[in-house]
Amino acid sequence: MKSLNGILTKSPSRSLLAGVVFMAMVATQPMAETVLTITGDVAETADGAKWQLDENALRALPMTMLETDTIWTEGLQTFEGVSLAALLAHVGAGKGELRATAVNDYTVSIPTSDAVKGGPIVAYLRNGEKMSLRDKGPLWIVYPFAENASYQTEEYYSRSIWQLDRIEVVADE
Amino acid sequence: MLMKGRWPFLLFASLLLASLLLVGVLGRTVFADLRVLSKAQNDDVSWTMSQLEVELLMLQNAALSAQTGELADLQQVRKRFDIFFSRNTTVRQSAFFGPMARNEEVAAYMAETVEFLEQSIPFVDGPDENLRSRLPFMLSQIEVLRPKVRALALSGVDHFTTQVSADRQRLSVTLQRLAFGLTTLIAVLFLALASLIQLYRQGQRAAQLSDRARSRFEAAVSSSLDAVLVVDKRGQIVEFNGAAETVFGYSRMDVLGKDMSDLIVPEELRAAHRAGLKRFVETGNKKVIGAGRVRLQGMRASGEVFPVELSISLSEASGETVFVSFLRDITSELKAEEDLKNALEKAQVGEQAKSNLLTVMSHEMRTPLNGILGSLDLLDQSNLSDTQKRHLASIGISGELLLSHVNDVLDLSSLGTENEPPKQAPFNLRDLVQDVNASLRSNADQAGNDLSVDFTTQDLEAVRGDRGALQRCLVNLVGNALKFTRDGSVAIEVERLSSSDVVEFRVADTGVGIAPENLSRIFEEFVTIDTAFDRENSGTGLGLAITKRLIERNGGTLEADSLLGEGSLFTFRLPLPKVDVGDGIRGTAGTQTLPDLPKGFHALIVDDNDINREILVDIIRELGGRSHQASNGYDAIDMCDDTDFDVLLLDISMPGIDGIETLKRIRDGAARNAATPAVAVTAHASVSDHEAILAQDFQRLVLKPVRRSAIHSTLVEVFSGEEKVGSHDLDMSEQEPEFLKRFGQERYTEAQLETQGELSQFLDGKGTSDLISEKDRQEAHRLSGSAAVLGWQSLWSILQEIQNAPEGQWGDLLSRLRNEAEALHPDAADQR
Repeated sequence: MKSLNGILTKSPSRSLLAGVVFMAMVATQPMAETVLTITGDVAETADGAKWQLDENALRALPMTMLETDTIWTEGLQTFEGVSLAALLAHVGAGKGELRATAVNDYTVSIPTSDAVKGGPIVAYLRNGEKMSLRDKGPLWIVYPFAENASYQTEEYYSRSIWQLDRIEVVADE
Repeated sequence: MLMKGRWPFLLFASLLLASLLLVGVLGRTVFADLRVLSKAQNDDVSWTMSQLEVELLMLQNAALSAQTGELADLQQVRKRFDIFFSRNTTVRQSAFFGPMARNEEVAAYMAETVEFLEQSIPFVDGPDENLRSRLPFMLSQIEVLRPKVRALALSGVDHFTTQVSADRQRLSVTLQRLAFGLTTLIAVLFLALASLIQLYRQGQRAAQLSDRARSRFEAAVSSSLDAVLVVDKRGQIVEFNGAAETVFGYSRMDVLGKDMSDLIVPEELRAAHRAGLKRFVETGNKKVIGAGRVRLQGMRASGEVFPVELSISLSEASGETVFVSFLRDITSELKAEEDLKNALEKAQVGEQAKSNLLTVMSHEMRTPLNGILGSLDLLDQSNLSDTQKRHLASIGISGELLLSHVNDVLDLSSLGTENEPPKQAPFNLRDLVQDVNASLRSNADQAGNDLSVDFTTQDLEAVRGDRGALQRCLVNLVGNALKFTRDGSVAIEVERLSSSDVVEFRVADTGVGIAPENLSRIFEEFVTIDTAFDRENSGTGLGLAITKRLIERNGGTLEADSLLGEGSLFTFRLPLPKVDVGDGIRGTAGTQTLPDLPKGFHALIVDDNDINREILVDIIRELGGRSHQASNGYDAIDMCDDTDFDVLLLDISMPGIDGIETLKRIRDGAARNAATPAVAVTAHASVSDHEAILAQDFQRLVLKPVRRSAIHSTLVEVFSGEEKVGSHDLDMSEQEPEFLKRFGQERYTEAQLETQGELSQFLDGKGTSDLISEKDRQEAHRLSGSAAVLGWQSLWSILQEIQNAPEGQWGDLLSRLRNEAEALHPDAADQR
């Protein structure tokens, strides 16, 4: 019990430490590593049907910052990333739904109608730092729960997918 | 509802409040719960927890592959480790894990898992060789960890179901309470609704009643014939009904809210009205209010001022004092009142005029009649041819008739207006009836009628009553009977009713009779039944009316019964109580032969009327006197200064000073004639006048027209020094020797001789006894009747004394009777 409490209280610093280690490790990876693949009903890309977005590509898009607490974290968190709306617009996604899948193959459907101004963002920074895989990184779709209480339901919690890996756009007929 | 209503209302209000509070609190709870439910505290716990095991298995798989595999497989281990790490962190940091960790087993398992992660991190993050060498140990650790992670996942499921069930239970209880609260609230609301409905109905009923009362009141006000004005304390008109519109000429809408005094109070009264209103408002001092009907002035829209009758009362209308005035235009009433007053005045003036006319008639008509009849009396003594005598007789009859008519009218008017009690005096009833019978015998003979008298009971001699009135009634009734009967019979019956004070008189005739339809009218004034006889016997139609009034005034009754063609019966009853004989009845005194007056007596005649003076002069001369005459009071006074008179005959009504004043001055003025007896000669007919005159220094009163007999008897009384009588008895003065008048000189003389014979026989048969025997009394009674008829006054007196002698002693009566008899004897035939 005592050790658990200790773990729990030390957890953020541990994670932070873990993140720093991970970051150092990532920095050793080639620069053009793909973090998000977008397929389906999207605009044509220069090289083919898939949108292979690396971290730089995402950062090149307009950055949106939101402050909120979540049921998975303790205290107020600051998330920075690209808004889902901006991302979909960037890739020319049609209207319909998104099939978002995480690294562990967790898949959830998000209607494109969620992608509005003041809506969810695809965060790549949490509290100003990149998120490691151990810490729900590198990408996390976060809804502005604090700003809009109507997002505080299981439905939106389930859409708040972390360790986001790929998105398939399924347009309506 | 007021008394009853308070409790239910309070109860209801508190119930409602309590229910609302309850529902509010429960609602808050539910709302809070719903808020909690709407904001999910965590995502799918079961999923998250089971994912923990799945991620561990994935790590184990990756580790197993990497033991035999290549470098890429080590990368896979790292990735799976990170995912499991992430999952583990997520679980530990999630809200639901706190409560779960209270379970020691859960906490222990989690601690072991965390320990595994912590121990593995240096190897995972380290070089591939280190990781690869560590894999077998990690796999053995995972093998140990797996059932524990599984247990964690299961406990998550368990926790989740427990929590959900607890939440559901809590919500269910809250909802049940809410339902209870709502039910209560609804019940209370239903109760409220019911009572509201009841209140509404009551309100409606009250409103209906109030509406009805109001409409009734409004109908009453609007249909009132009187103008109704309601004014508030400031004097402003609040209500103005239809009648008020008509009376004042304003329309209701125009005057509502306006100042009443400006509209309907005449300008000159306005200040007083306002002062009155102000006074009432300030002091509560009422003057006109509640004082009943008051007459004031009102003003119409046209400015016309008119009289109103109004009553003002105070009323409370919704807490405010108002004045309710009922007004009536009394212009026409006042006019009617005025008219009535005028009519009354006119009637009174008319009545006065009539009364004056009668008084004037009394004087102005009787005076010339006096002249005519007096002159006829004098002419009687002259030497005239038979034709001339017949003409004179006609004039005389007509004159008498006219006089009787005038007297009738005067009598009627005096009976109608004067309220003197009848004159009551003792008299001999039997004699009176006989006298009437005798006086009308010639009338009866002329019409071929048989006239009879029958006294059917005793006690009809000495009675007390109004002799004059009775005589008048009998003369009227018998005269009437004779008038309407030809060659028949008229019977007079007199009867005392069963020894009472009432005497019944019946006058029956066998004449024409009276039709039934006329029977009721005959006692009315001026009624003459139109028959053939009427034209022959003209009359005023007043006889029966006077008779009836006279009888009723004396406490009697008069009835008439008749059969047309068979005859009539008049019956009257009069109270005529018996009196003692000793009361001294004058009886037949009127029939006496008057004694001579002193030769050469000297009289002063004062009258403004030449004819009256002339007649009186002649009468005096005939009576053996001489006279001076004066045409007015002043001359008379002068004469009284110069000459001594034995008697003064004074007219009362004269120009200048009247008879009363003249006598007063004579008495006061000179030594001469200061004590000379005075006789009033007047046409004034009323008894009150007579009393007024006699209250002066007059010894006697003679009514015009003057008759020689009246003057004669009056002068006899005056010279014999008799006491002044209370009033003059007209009938007495007219009692001329009726026997002579009716039956003529021949029979009169015959009767005289017969009576003288009887008297001689009585005296001769009289013995020497000093006592008056019963036989003597009867004889004296019989003889006194004869003496009365023949007008032998002194003889009658002596005979009366004999009948009534107190001791039954003759005394000097016998010698006096003999002297009287001798006095009568030698010149009996020359008596008249």
